[in-house]
Amino acid sequence: MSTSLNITITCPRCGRKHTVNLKKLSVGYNIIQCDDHCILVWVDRTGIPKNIGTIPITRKGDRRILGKLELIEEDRMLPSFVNKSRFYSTLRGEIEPTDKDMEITGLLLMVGYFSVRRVNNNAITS
Amino acid sequence: MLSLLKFFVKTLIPGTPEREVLMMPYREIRKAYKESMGYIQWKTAKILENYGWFDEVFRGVERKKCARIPDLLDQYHKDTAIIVLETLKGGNYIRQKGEEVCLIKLPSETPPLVTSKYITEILPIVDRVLETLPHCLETGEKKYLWLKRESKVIFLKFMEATGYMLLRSYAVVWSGLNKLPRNSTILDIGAGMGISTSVLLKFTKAKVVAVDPDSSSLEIAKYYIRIMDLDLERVEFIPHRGEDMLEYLGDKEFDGAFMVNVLHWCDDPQLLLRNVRTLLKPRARYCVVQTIAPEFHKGHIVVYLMGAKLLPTLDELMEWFKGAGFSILKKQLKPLFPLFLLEPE
Repeated sequence: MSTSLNITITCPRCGRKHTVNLKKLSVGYNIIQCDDHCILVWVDRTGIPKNIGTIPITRKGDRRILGKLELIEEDRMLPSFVNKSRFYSTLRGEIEPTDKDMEITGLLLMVGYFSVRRVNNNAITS
Repeated sequence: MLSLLKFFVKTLIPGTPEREVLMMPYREIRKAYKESMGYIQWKTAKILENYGWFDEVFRGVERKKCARIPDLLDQYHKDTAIIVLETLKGGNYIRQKGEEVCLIKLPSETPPLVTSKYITEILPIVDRVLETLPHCLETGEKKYLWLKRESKVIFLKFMEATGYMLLRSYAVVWSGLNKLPRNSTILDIGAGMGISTSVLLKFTKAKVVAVDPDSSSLEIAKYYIRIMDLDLERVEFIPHRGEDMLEYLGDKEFDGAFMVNVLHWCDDPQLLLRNVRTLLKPRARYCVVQTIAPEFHKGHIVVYLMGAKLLPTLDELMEWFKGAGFSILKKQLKPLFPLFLLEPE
């Protein structure tokens, strides 16, 4: 594996560095476990990470988790403050999310709208 | 009747909170209330019919399909059976005569027409939660208890429903909390995911202390408040039960308090009220929105299945307020949810 495929993501909250294999990042939202919180990474359709935020949740088990967010709730259960067309576009990697979009996604993740599909742990070193 | 008339007269006067409700289309909210009751009652009856409950309970002589209430309360989980009977009575599916209930009609094949945008918004919640009714009726177990992770989606959707938001906004204006000066502090009891906190931030200039026993809900509240473009700096979060809050807030005094449909979620509502009384300044305003039995039991089954207890009657509520040391400055029982403005005695 070429090292050029790896990028370093610095946690905006605590400054910890995580080396991630770019090929393992999915289009849309990804999360990386970081200490007692998660880093939310949005990746566009070309595979480039563009926006990074954090969420105060801890996932159980292995701390070296990289995963893709998958919406598991019905469309009609989305709260009224979500702009649906914009939300789905960001999920598909079509529109780069603003900080507010990232916060909305973080809230929906905390509430339970998403499941996390885990990627092989070899994709990340922290 | 007189209070309804007064309400309508005030909707004609610019600047009154009643007028503001009218601007928030009040008539649509009333229609929503009626439609939500009708749908909840129909759905309850339909689920019980599909489960075979009507056949099991009303298998009497052909011309008299009746059952004794004490037998039903023995046979099924008692509180759940009570709320089921209230719901079915509200929808005219059964009629009570003394200690007996008799079947009047079975639910129609198709649901009642729901046209209000406020109600179509919450139908998925009603459908999902009521599916758990047969199990709860048999065992008393509630699948979507409010502290469970899988319940949070339902709670968020329910609490931030547009009609409910309008009601909270109205309550803030009606109670005069919006007139408190900038340096005042309001206690928000049962803040949950920050929906009531946001309304206080939006309509008042005060600081807010948000109390809720679920710390994960309060974490969500921080996000919600930021998403609503409100000032998170004005809020302090206290992750404890209202019954225990003196331990954490005992040195503070508040100019106002706000509580929307909280008492039926509490372990000890009277202790909670006494605690609020202790924390309030002498002339503070305490706005309580609280649904009451029997009227609101007709549609209470959904929140009951999410962990709420049965509702207090108006007499019980008055006794609780008095026992905690509050006098009532004003109240409005209709046409919306009952509203009370209290002041420490």
